[in-house]
Amino acid sequence: MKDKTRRDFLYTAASGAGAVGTLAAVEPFMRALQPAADTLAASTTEFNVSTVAPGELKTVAWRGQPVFVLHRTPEMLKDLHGHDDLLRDPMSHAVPEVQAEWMKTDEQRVTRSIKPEYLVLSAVCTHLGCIPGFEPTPGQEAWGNIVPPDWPGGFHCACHGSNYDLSGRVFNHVPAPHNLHVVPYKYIHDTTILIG
Amino acid sequence: MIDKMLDSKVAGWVDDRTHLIRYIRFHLIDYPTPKNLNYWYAFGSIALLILVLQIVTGVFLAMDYKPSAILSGGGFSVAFDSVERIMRDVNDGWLIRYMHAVGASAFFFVIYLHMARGMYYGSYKKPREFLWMMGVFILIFMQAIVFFGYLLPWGQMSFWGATVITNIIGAIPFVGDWLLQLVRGGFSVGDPTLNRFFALHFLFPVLLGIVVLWHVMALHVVHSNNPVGVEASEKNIIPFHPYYTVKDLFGIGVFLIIFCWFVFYHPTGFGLMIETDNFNPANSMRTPADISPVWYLTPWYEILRSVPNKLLGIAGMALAYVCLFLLPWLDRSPVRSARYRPVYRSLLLIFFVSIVVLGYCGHHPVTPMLTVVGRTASVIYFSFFVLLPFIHKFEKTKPLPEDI
Ligand code: FES
Repeated sequence: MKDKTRRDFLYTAASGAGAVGTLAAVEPFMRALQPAADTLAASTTEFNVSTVAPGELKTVAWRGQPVFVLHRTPEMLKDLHGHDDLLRDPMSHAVPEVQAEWMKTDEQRVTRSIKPEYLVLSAVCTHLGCIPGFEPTPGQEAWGNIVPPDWPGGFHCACHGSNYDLSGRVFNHVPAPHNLHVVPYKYIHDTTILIG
Repeated sequence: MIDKMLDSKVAGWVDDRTHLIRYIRFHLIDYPTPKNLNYWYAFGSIALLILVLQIVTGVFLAMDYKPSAILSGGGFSVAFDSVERIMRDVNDGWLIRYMHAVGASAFFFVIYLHMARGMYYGSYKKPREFLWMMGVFILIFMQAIVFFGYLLPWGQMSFWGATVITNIIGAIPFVGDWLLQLVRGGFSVGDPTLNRFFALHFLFPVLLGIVVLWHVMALHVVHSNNPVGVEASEKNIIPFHPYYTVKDLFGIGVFLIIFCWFVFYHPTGFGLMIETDNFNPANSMRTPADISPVWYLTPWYEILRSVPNKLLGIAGMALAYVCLFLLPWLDRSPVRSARYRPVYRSLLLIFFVSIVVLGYCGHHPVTPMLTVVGRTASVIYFSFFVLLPFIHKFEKTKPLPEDI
């Protein structure tokens, strides 16, 4: 009897140690799958926003991913107001990624940019990562029924039909959960931004 | 002839030491089968043939393919160029690649018919529940394999398909981000992703082959169901060889004619098997206007797209697979074959139509009209599984024959 419990103990201890050892051996493999150091190496991109004409959209590459730089005209900025009821998160509160330290006033939470005329946002749709198309004129005339009838102008992701306004704020009733993410950037010169 | 070979001295010598001849006899010759199996039962053998074709063509392609997204001298990527080299310079490379690409579509086509047959004749019921679940697992495994494979040419559809699908992983609560980086090996789909997908696209089919062998061996434990769905008596059982070897070979012949027609005349399958956009090299700065997965994934994709909420959409898609897994327990009727179950039969046919409609919608860009159609079809898909546990209560089944 005594022998038996001794055996049971040894059996449990040995298989327990074996299991822990196996798990520990899995770890380096998991780490090997994670991004390598050279892939991770932080990178920055400089961009001169004055090269973007009023009303124009340019796409800049940062860490291999696209960033929108949109030069908004005064009308575009005006049109940002008055359709809050269409939006899921008009003041960009939902998650940290849609906000930035410099977003202090309500107005900044609407324009979502350091200088209101230059919108700088991640171009990655928060649904499943496509790049939305730029469809700035209001109404359905230019875009047909892929955008809602009361379209205020903005971005339309053709992949699964998500809509964002000209501040990258997401509409209600679309698959994308959040506003387009804000990327870290600052002005290092009057018209030059440093992304990253 | 075969008998003579298997009875030879050499065969006996090998058998004494390995049991090899016994296995061959058991699985390919003596295997007892009901005598009333129709051509729907040939799809299993056809699928097996395609698996072999895919592995052979795949190994040959791997000899010339280079999994690198690094820019090449011509301004495209090394991977994209190596595929074009296979198409233009490697002797008969075009043929091998088109066989591989058409083979992937053929595999799914045949597997879907194979599953439809199983559902129609109730082949998932006791004692074949595990066989059915293995089958669903094989389907999901195949979908993972094509997903890895589709990235390799590094075209626009490769890149954006992989981006969208890996993002699905990223949406899993809590571990999503970690898992996403684990799969991609970077912030976005890129060179590390391509390298690991190539490695997995090579490994997984080998594992699939093992699972498929197990599937066949498990079938030979519980034996084949038949269109009538009742157990066959001794006198209605015939050996697999020569009756079904010949019947299956005829099915394979018909299949190969259609297969060759596609390979030689419509290798891109009218833009369905190799999508037109995939002849453009991957561009991480521009999503193609209309991205949709290859046809065999569209029904599941449409379920995802029908739900206007990211997480719930993904959950819906996962649930669609879970329902398939649970089929043997959701259906409680003791009668197997739909031939004797009028209500089940109608529901099943509607279910099949809903999958085709889902596939159609998933292949086209979103419009308000198609969204409504897609949502309706999704509801029908799930309603089938919701109704299934109850229909045996009121369904008046037709009288079953004593024997097949
Ligand atoms: S990725 Fe933009 S809507 Fe799905």
